[in-house]
Amino acid sequence: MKIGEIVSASVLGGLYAKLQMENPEELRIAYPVIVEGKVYDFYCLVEDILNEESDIADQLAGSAMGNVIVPTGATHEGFAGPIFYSKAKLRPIQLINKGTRKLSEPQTIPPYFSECRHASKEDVELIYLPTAKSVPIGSITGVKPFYVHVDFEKLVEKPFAIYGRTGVGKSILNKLLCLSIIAKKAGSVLIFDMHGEYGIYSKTDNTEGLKYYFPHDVEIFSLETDNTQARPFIMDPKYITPDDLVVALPNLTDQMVDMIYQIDRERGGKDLITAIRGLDTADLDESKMHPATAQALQRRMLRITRLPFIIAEGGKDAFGQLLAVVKQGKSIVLDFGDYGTDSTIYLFLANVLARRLFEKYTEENEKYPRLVVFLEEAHRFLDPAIASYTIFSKLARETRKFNLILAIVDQRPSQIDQEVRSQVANRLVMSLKEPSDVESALAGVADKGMWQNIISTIPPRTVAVIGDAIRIPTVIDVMPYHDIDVREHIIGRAAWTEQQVRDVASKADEVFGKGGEQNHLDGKPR
Amino acid sequence: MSFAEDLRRELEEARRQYAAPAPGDGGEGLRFSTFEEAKDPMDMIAVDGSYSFLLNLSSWWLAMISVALLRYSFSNEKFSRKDWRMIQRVVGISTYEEFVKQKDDFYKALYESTRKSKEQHRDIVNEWRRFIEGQLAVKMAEDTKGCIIAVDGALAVFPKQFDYIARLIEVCEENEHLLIGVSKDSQLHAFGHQLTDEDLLNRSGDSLEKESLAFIRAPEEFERGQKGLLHGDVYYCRFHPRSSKWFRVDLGTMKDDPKGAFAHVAPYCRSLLAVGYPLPLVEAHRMAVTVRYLRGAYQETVVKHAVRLGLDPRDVLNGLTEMEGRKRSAFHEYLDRLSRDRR
Repeated sequence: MKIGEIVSASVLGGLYAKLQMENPEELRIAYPVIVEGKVYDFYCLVEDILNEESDIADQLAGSAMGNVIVPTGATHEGFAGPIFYSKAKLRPIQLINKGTRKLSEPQTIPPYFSECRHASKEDVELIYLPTAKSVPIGSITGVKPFYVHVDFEKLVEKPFAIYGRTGVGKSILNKLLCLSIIAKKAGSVLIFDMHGEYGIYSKTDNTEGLKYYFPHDVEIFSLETDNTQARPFIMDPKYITPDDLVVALPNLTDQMVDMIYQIDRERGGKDLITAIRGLDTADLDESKMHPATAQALQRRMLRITRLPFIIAEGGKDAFGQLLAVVKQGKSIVLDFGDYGTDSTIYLFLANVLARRLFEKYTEENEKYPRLVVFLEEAHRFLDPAIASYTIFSKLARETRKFNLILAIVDQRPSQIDQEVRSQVANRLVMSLKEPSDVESALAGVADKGMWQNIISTIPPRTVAVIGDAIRIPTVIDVMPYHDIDVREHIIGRAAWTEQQVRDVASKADEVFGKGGEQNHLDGKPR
Repeated sequence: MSFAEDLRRELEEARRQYAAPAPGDGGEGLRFSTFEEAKDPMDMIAVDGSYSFLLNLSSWWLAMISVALLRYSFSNEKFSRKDWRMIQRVVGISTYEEFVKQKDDFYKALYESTRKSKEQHRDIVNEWRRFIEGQLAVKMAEDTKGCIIAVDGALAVFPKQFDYIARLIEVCEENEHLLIGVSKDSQLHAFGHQLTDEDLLNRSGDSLEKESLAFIRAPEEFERGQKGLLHGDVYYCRFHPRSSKWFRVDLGTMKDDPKGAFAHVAPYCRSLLAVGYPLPLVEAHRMAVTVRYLRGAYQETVVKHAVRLGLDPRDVLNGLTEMEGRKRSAFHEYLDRLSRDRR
């Protein structure tokens, strides 16, 4: 359906269309639009929609008159369309040759009065050709129901980022991405599951987790030793380094940080935790260590030293098991259980595990398949003030060579070290409001101005995907996280038998103690 | 005499002349008739035209005439465009008698009817525009039935052998059209008052009920005085209670039922864009005057063709005109520009 005609155009500045719609509310930012030139169809995104200033409108507005018809697109058809019309600013993204249907970059403009219309399924199909390892994560905004494929092989080749403020659907997007990576065997994933969302069923909304769909490809480790359906996660404190503590413990003074490193140098055969805990503050050489600082450090350390999964003697460090699982190409969900609300533990564990993985991958890269580490609240590790103590900035910079890929998940991209952000090859950006975050999330992107407009205005559950994992930068309405949609578009209907599903569902009941009476296959809300 | 004294004297004179009470206020009374909107109005076919001069070489002008016709329907509070026509003609105008002798009868008739004009080239092109409007209206009136045919301006006669208005009335009668000519502005004093008719009615109309639509016929003496010059009956109409003015409307058909006739016109006068004036005429006007906005492009074409035909480019460039035919390079144009720039 024709929606307007081109009235001005510039390769650099974009196109302006005079709209012929009765109501401009039918069009939204980021909708794809086709402008029909002579030789090319210009595939464009709506960058802005505007009602220009009008002296007559200024004069007439507010005239209170009875029995008068106010000019709108619906009431007044002028000699050339609506008398008061809106305009749309369009940004060409691709040219489609009308004859050959080949795609090319937009290096020209269409003639005056070229017709504009909504992009159709046929138009977008030309652009978003599925590949062997591509999966749709939603439908393209404005062209329902056209599902847009993201190439997960390309996505996991290099670090990528998912940005979006709280409450816009990052967790759902994360889940869809994890499922897609596993489904397409593009790699395996490591998730630090703070809120019990990724295992079999989500504790927060009872939706299906990774293990539900891939019972044989996903292993759950749990920090809670009484979780019988997951492998226990036990950590030998000898693997803890000073950096791990510096990252995890908030507001350490410089003296405390120095003291940790000093203790580490002098601890001999003891592990660092035991060495700090065993420090006799009454017997310290005050010229080297101040007793008050040592006492304060010990107090701070209590949160970590009391953790039951840190077992010095007799405990079997779970990292070996974890590595074995990774070697088999399986994915790992590290369930934090009741510790999920303690960010210190998250910071501590994520750093320790990532560092040890990094060491293994750099030493024996060829032994390990591709693993994607999803790092939520990434700015807490990648803040410029702390980034030097964590392994993650190194991971972002170097691990593309080693099959260990960092997936940054964050709501405050402006607080992430710029150098780390620059390593990101693909970005999945959801709604951001803070201008500094929008700016940081889009640093280095072509047509940044347009994307800033889009990111500031897109609704929740919508994501702009920018990078080489998608043919062109695209705004996608993230698919609902429903069993039917996941099976239809990601897993594939034929992949599972009903019995398999029931088997896993019954285990979930044991783990979480609920849902036993309900039928999870019927798609009805539980 | 100082500026202030001059000003005071002239304003005092104007107050004496124009602040006098209107006849309606003084009890002499103007006989208004009221009417109501038709529930199911006829379609309206509106015709209007415009022109733009492009080039002037001595006493010869080149002008572009543009005439627009739009057919509208009105229902469910919506103005819908159903059909349109656009005619564009390029015409050569000369006021030099020897040149006119070589032209056809039509041009000679235009020349003769405008002979007394001070700016004859403008009046010739204006009359030519009226003629094209009439031709188009006749054509459309022949092709349709039962519509309002609304033309811009009075239903004034045209040089006899080319009097399209007579033909238009004939066709409208045959095809049951309502024919009206609506004047955007009228400076007449048909009611014999020192105020123009529009001003007089604006003041006197206050005596009408607030929400009423009304019309009044021009005095018989006036119409008698115009005999042979006009085809229609002359009325002044208030098509909307909030209309900012009374419009002169010449009624060409349905003369025995002005109330019924105006009832069909009123619904088209409800747009906030021009309360009291038919929207189709607004749009026909807007469409026709595009010739003025695109003058630059037309002039570019004129220059290209003229030079290709062997005219001296300097003459052509010097001959490019403003809208009304005044040369851009005319000396007073330069003085105006100088004054604006250095004020």
